[in-house]
Amino acid sequence: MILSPAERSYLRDSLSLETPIRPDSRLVGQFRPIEAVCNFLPNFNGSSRVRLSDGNECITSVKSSVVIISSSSRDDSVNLIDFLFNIPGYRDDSNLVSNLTLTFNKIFNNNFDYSSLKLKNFKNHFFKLSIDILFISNSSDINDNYVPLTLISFSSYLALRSTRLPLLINDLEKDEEDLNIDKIKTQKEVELPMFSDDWSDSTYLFPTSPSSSTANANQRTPPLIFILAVIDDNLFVDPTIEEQYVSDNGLIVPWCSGNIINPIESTKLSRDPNSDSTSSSTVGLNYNHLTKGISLVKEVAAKVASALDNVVNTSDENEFLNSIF
Amino acid sequence: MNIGDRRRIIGPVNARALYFENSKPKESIHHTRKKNNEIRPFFIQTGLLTNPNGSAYLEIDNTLILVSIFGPRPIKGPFMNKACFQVETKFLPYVNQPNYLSKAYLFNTNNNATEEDVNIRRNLDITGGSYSSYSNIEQKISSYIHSAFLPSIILEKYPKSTIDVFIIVLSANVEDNVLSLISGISNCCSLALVDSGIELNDIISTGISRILKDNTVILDPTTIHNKDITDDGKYVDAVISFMNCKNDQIVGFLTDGNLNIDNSLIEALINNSNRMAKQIRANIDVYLIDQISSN
Repeated sequence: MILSPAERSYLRDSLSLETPIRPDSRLVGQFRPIEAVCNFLPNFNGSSRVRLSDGNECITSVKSSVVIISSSSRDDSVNLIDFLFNIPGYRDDSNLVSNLTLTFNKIFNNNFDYSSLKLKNFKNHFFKLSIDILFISNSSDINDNYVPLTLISFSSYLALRSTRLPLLINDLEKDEEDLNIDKIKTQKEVELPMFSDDWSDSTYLFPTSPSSSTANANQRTPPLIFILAVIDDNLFVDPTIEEQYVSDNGLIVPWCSGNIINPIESTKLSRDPNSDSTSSSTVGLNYNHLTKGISLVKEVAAKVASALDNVVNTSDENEFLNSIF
Repeated sequence: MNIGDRRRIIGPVNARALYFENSKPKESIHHTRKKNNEIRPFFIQTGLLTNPNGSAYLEIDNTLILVSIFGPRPIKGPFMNKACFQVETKFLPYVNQPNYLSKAYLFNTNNNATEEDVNIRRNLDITGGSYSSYSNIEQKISSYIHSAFLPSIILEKYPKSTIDVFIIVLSANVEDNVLSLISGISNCCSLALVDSGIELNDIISTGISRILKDNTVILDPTTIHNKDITDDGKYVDAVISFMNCKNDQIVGFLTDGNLNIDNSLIEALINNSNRMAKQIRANIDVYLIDQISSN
């Protein structure tokens, strides 16, 4: 999609005003409405579907498996969260898919509390989460620069938030016969973990009830990733594709539990070789852009997270209504 | 009739086995300790290759980078009023690629990582475990360079043409910081672009700085130097590319580490990376001026 020179300059001018006017009259820190459901896939530990009014849709599923990690290699070469992206029309080794995979793996693995994935009473057993993301777009607008990051990030947040892990039964046995602990301990070394068949016994990976959240306040939530469009001195969250086309630069800012985390990254959102050459492409960022972006994300991220948490909580009540099967 | 072993090829009776003087690989020359506010010395050379329109070679410690620029060359197809700019990065097959994903690469310099470990780590980063396509790290570097250099090249001067940048990493340390590799590659690309004669808005210079939890600043950090300082494990690195003659505009920005970011940290990172970028820019300028005067 290419804007005409007139459209382009009109849009750019209105967005670079001191009080910018966005084409859909949103505020600078306002997101487009999304339609989201959780836990609608019965065969997965957690799942979500997020739809946007422009027809883009993101389906995320979380599947857990148990892996054994020797203590020597822990923290280093093993990543317990593994993202896989599926974007129709893009090869797995294309720049877009490859960069998305790397960014998500990096952000989620670096900011995830691995202790919550550890199996109780097992020394080297961990849950490994395989997260599959399917991004569907009914327009041909998606390209290397139009990164649907916000939508994907919302979707993976919801999927992880709704992820439930099965109850370990080995754990229960221990309470009954804790007389000879040493014996059990040696048994546990060779014993395989056993899980309860009853899905209603499962526990949330991220506890959602308010009482438990106060209990462990340092419990991290899944990270959220925000993409900001920079136009002149203004920054915009959740830019539409038109806004991205007229933008000078983009900023990718990840957020986790109230903090801005690494890696913050600058990017180009508006490479459009056929468009008129405007001065926009030769402009870089400055200190003000970065600090403005960080404050903007700090301001909106907590609200976004609590809104998404609401989706998880309400999805619970009518879990079976959400199922597509 | 000589009934010998017919299955194998046995040499003459008086043959002696080949003797290798030293079959063990030599100890690699490791980084010497440097002060926190110093940058490592580097070697640059342009125009080593004759086939591409421009090329540059850069050497820092064990890291060797070769960049070649092809273009502007004409392309077929519909009319384009701007040049098309493409970047490709490739590590030579035997080069161990640094691990960008690892949580604790900073602390894994305890020298007991075996060859096997290194290979496992390397395989984890390769897309689909296949070597035929670009690895994630290669793609990441390509996109950083692409977005950083896009503002610098005056693409409007070259309609209907393409400018291709090929980055080859000839050697790299596995323990090395990915960001420090990016900064080296980016500076090498600047030189190659100058060598190619393509019109630029400004030469891009890239600096990298690390800030620890106690606000200690380290310019040009690599893994090994600062191992003992970062015992508390909290740090943040930033590689930042500047257009120094265009009001120090930031054209590339990437952070890494485990410290939470706030505005004062950003300011410190920008200032210190800019300090390093300016030193590098000065070196590059002197090199280029010397080259002109020697011609």
